[in-house]
Amino acid sequence: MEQLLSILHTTLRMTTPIALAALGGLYAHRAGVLNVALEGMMLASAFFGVITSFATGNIFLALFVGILASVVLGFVFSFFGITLKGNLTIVGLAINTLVAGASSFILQVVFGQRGTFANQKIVGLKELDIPILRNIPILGDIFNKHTPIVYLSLLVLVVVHFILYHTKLGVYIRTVGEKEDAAVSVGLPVNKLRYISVLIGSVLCGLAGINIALENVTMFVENMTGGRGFIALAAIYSGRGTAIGTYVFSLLFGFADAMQIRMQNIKIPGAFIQMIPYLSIIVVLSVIGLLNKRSRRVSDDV
Amino acid sequence: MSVIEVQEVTKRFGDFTAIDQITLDFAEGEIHAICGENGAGKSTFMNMLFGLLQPTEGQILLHGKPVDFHSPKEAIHSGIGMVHQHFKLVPSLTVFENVLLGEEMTQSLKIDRQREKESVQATIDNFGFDLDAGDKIEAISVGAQQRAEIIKMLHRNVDILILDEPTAVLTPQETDELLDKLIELKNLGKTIIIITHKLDEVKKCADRVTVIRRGKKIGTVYNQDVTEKDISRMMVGRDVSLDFDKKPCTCGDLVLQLNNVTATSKLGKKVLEGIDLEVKQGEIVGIAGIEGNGQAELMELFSGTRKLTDGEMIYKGKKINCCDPAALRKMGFGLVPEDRYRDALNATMSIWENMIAGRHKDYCKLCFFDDKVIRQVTKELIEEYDIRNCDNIDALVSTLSGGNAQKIIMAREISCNPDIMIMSQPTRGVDIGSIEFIHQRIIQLRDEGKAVIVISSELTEIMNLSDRIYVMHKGKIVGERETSQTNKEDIGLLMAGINHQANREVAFSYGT
Repeated sequence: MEQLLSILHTTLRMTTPIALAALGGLYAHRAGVLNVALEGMMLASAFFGVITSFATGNIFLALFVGILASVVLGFVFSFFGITLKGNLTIVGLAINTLVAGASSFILQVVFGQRGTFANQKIVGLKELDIPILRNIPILGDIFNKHTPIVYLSLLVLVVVHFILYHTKLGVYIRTVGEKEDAAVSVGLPVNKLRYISVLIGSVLCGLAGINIALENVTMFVENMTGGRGFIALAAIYSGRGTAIGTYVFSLLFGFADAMQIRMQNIKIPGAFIQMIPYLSIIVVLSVIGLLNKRSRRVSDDV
Repeated sequence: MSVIEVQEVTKRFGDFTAIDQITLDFAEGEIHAICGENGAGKSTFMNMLFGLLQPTEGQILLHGKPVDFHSPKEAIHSGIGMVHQHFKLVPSLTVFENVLLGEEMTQSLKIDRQREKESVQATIDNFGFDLDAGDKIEAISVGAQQRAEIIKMLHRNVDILILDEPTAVLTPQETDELLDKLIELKNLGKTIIIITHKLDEVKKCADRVTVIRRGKKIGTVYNQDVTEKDISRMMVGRDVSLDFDKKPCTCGDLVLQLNNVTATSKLGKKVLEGIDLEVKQGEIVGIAGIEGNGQAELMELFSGTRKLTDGEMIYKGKKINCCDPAALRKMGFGLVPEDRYRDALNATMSIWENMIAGRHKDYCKLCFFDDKVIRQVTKELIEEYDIRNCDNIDALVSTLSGGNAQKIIMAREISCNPDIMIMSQPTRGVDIGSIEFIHQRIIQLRDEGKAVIVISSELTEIMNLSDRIYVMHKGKIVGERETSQTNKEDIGLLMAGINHQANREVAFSYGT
């Protein structure tokens, strides 16, 4: 039992960055922009967050700089991909590669570190111990003692859903993605809406990146996002572009991540264990693909 | 009193003058038809009124004041609405959400859906449209989608409504309903501008007609003063006749026969069901039907790109069940597919390359193209088929207009000397001058003793050309008629799935 609760606690922790990136990427997805740069945005935020935290010791400043880095990349992505109409996949991959390379490079040149950057001066996010939750059995074990960003991510879910389905912005974003002509014909600012979609994603990716780097480990490791940007994309597709669906699949992938962490004590080579989250994605995507095919068949026959 | 005055408006795209010094006025409360061949500049002209394009020279006056729209939004705010040929509706949203797109009613931040729905339904009822504001666009028929588009404009209080080729996607019955509705709207004081090249519709509803040819205004006439013939003469610049004195059909041997042919889609849905059909030498068989009722699949069957799952196809007494386009062509199939640039032409290749497509072997000398022969044959065919703007045969085929591109396909297929010619939508997007030419060639083919199948959703075309007509609905043949013993209404009802002669009412629904 204690094991299970502990796994669920870790699940929520591991879900948070995936869910934040996925919920952020959701807007771009609905606006018809394939945001491949989620990964790079998160990594940039993690890197600059750690550096700022190290330099100033101020967690809020770290948060701000991390998100700022991510937003800057969002602008770069939007400019090349939307304004200049470049190939989104290429632009996104370029940003991911750039961030991965630049972060290692800066680490080595400026800080003389290879691969990891850990230092006692780096201030991390404090876990919250919420008095009310603490005393509730089971729920308390799962939901208590997380970083503020974890709780924030649950709030983000609600807000994202509300914006997407109950506000003008949400309707416009969906219109732009589904039928651009319709948006143009009533004078909606198509490119501006796409920029907004990508930039909302950047802000949330910024939060995700900070959470990865500064929650438990408080250090920066090369490529520490480990493909979570792409996992987020998988969650968006699996969730069929809905906020709740996206979060549910983020949870699933987060759970696989938690299992992976838990099972590292078992005597199986670590590399195999570390494959679990990625294998789970392949399985989920395959199942979703089959289900989609079947539902298409049904709707086709009507 | 004129609501819009257009004064010496010119629009240039680079060196090309699309609209040349057009001066025109639209009176309040009239239906004004703008006619012209494809590429005459009708759409360009309307896009300027609607703010999608800006004139290079000249000015547009609205209620006597010069206006300069830079976006459709400005035009709508000034009371000009446009219903485009391709609807600008979001399929997954409801009718009311589409109608109010960009002008949502909110309560603080939240969209007030209930109020939105009521408000749109009120407009719908007010104008007496048959539409439910709460339906999703993807679930309603094309005719209803068009009504939603019109409501979208009316709800924004426009008093000038521009409709671009509104009847292209409608059944004959839906077309009549629309025209009646437009007259009703006119009587409510709206000004309606309708762009079309279907002259019978112009005659039915318009008060005045303006004809545009090659970017120039030919003239504005009162509908009651002119005949369809007069208008088409203005459009083309010469007498055009689509009523041919066909010789009676002298049918020969059976060429192609389909017995109980059934085909299923990849997902297991029957797209063709129990098709029985035959064509004889020297006969034109028309296949009528609203688009999407199995005609495309039938065409795929003929072109060897779809397998039949049941039944048989018999060609010249022999059963053929191959699924091999090249073999079919060798056997004497000539094909003019529906979508020119998907199935018949390669847009990124030159005119001559397209002219010999599929027959490369005939033009080879020691494995290399015989350039001289190819050029000569291409030029001869261009001459024979009166294909214009083709002086440079190395130019990309996509630089040609619809009519001329279609003639390239016709020239290529007919010059192969086929025994059976199968054409799908042979005059789609083709101007009236070229339609006349293409129709003449089709009849000529028949008189030469070829078997011809014409698949078309254009009822006039089917009636004018065919000796015999099959009507398709939901993948089935729902009726067969001798052309001489039927009329448009009869075929129109069959197209809608109502076989009134058999006294059997099939649900009045359109395959979407």
